[in-house]
Amino acid sequence: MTMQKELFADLIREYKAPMYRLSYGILHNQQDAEDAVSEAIIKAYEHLDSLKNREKFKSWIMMITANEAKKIYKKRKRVELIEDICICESGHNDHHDELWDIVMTLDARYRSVLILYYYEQMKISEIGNILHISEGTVKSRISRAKNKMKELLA
Amino acid sequence: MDYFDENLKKMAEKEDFAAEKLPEGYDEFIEDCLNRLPEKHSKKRMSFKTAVVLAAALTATLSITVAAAANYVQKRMEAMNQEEKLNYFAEAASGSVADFYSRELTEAEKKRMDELSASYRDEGLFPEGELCKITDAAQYQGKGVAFMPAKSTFFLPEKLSDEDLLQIIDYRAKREYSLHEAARQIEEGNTTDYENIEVPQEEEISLRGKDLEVACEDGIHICFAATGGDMLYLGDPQKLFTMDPQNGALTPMKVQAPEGKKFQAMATDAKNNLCVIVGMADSASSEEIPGSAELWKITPNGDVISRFEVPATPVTQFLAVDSEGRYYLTSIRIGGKYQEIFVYDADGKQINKIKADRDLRALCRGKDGNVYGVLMEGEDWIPAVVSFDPEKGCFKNKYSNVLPVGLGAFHGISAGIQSDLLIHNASGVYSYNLGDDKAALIRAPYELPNAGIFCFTEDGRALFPMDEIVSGEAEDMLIYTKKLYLLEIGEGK
Repeated sequence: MTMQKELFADLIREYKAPMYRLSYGILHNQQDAEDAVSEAIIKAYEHLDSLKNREKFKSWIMMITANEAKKIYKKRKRVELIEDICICESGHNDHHDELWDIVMTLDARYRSVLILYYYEQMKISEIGNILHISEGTVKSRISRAKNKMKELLA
Repeated sequence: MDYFDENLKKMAEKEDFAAEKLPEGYDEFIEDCLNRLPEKHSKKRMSFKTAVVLAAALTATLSITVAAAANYVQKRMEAMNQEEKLNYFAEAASGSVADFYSRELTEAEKKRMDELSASYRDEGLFPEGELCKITDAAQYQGKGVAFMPAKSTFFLPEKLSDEDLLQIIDYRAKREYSLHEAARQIEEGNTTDYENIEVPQEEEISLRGKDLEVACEDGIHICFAATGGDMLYLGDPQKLFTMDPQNGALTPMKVQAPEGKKFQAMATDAKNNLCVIVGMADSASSEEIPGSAELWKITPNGDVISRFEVPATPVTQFLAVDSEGRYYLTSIRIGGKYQEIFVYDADGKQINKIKADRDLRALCRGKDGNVYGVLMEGEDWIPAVVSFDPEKGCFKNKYSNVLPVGLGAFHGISAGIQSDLLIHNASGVYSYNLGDDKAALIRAPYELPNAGIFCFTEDGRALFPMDEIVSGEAEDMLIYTKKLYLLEIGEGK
C-alpha cells in the first residue's frame, strides 16, 4: 500500500460504522447499505485530491455516502425484486434498540437527518451540507420527526 | 436543545453502534473494498450499469466460487478468450435482476444439481456441449436446455439430463468468472472494453388482442393504481387520475392532495369508489401540519363523500376494503417485530387490530367480497395467502405452501377473473383458487415485460409502466413513465 492509500484506508476504518449507519438509515437494507458504502469508498478515493482539509474528512465521506445511498434508493424504486428484499429485512443483525427501531419506522428523509443529528451529533449546518438541503429544512425535519417520535415513545 | 432532545441524544449514545451491531462480515467487507483500490487512484469511471454489475460480482457468493475451485476448473475458465468474457459480462448486465427457470425445478433435479455442482468443482466433470442461447421464447423447441439472456431465463425440457444440468452449472461458473475478471481488468485500468458494452435488451412489446399501449408524452409519475369497475384509478403523492382501459384516456380528478399532504395508499370499495390514505407531505413543517392521516372516500366523479382519521404512524403501506365497507390498513413493520393490520368499520370506527408475524405484503378484495393478503411468514419468509376475521381480530384462513418459496416477496394480489385470486411478483403471475394445493403459474417472467404490475383491469389485463425517465436531482428526483401498457395475462373474460 502506498502512503496515500494507507492514510485513506485508516480514515475509512475510523468512519466505517457511521457510514454504514447512515446508508442503512437511508436504504433500510443491509446489502444495499454495504453497496452504498463500497461505492462511496471508490468515489472518495478517486476524488481524494478534492479534499483540501483532512479535518473535514468525516463530513466529506458522509456526504459521499449519503449521495451513493440516495442513488441506490432511487434506482431501487424501479426494481421490484430488490425493493422486496429491502423492505423484508429486519435490520442489522437482528439487534434492536428502542430509538433505532423507531427511527427506522420513519421516512428515509427523516431517518438520515435523525441519524446525523442524534447518533453522529453533527451540527445543523453540517447535516445540511451532507444531505444538500437547507438548514431550515434540516430543522423542520428534525422538528417533525421529533413530534412523530414523541407519539411513538409515548 | 429541549429536554426531549437531550433524552434522545442520551438514548442514541447508549445505542451507539458497537461492533457487534454491524452486519456480520462487515469488517472483512471494508478490508476487501480497501484492498481493491488501486495504488494510484484513477479518475476513470465506469458507467453506472457496469458499476452495479461489478458491485454484484464483488459481493456475489454463488454455488461455485471460482477462486476456490480445483485446478481443472481454473484452467477451463482461463481458456476463455476476452470476447467470450465480455459476452458473459454483457449478459450479466441484462435487464433481469435474477435468473429464472421456465418451470420450477423438481426436488430430485435440485438434488442432482447440487451433486453435479460438486463434481464440476472437485472432479472436473464438465458438459460436452455449450448452452444454447435464444433471443425469443418461441425459438425454444423443448429439447435440451436453452438460455434467454435478455430475460435471464433457462428454458428447461420436460426431463433434465445430467448434460443439461452441467451446461447450466458451466454457464453460471463462466459468467461469475467473467464478472470477477471484469473487476480485475477495470481495476488495472482496462475500462475501454467495458464502457460501451452492448447489453442484451428485451424484445419490443408486440400488442395482441385487447393489449393497449398508452403514450404519456410528458411523462406521468405513478405511485399507485387500483381497479374500479370499468375504469382505473392512478395516483402520485399529489394528483389522482382516472384511466379508461378501453382507450387509455387519462383524466385528472378534481380532488388533489391539499397543501402539506400527500396520498400514501389506494384501493377501491365494492361500489367502485376510490379510497385513499392522505398523510403528511415530506415538505410540510411540523408547525403547519399536525401528526395525523386521514382516509378519504372519493366517488368516480371526484367528490369526497367521507373522511376519517387514521394513525399517521406507523405509516399505512397497503389498503383494502371488503364488501361490507370495512377498511383494512397495513402498517409498515417496526424493526424486527410484527406487522399490524388496522380494521375500521364503514363509519371509520376502529374495530380491531390484527398482528402478523413478519410481513403482510399485499391486500385486495377477492371475488367473494372478503379481503385477502399475502403474508411473508416467519424468519424464513414463507409466502401464504391469508384472509381475516375482522370481529375476532385474527387471521381467518391461512393457505400455506401454495406459492413457491425463495422467489422474493409476493407484493401484488388481486381478485382473479376465472380463478379466485391473481398473485404476482418478479417471478411471474400466479392464479389461485381458495383451497387448492398449489397456485398455478400463468405467466412466467420471460413472458412479461421487465417491469412491475400496478393492477389488473376487470377484463384481466395487467397495467405495466414502461419507458421510464428520471427527472430532477437528489431528493427531488422522480421517475416518470412515458408509456403504459395494458397487456392480457391469460385470465381474460
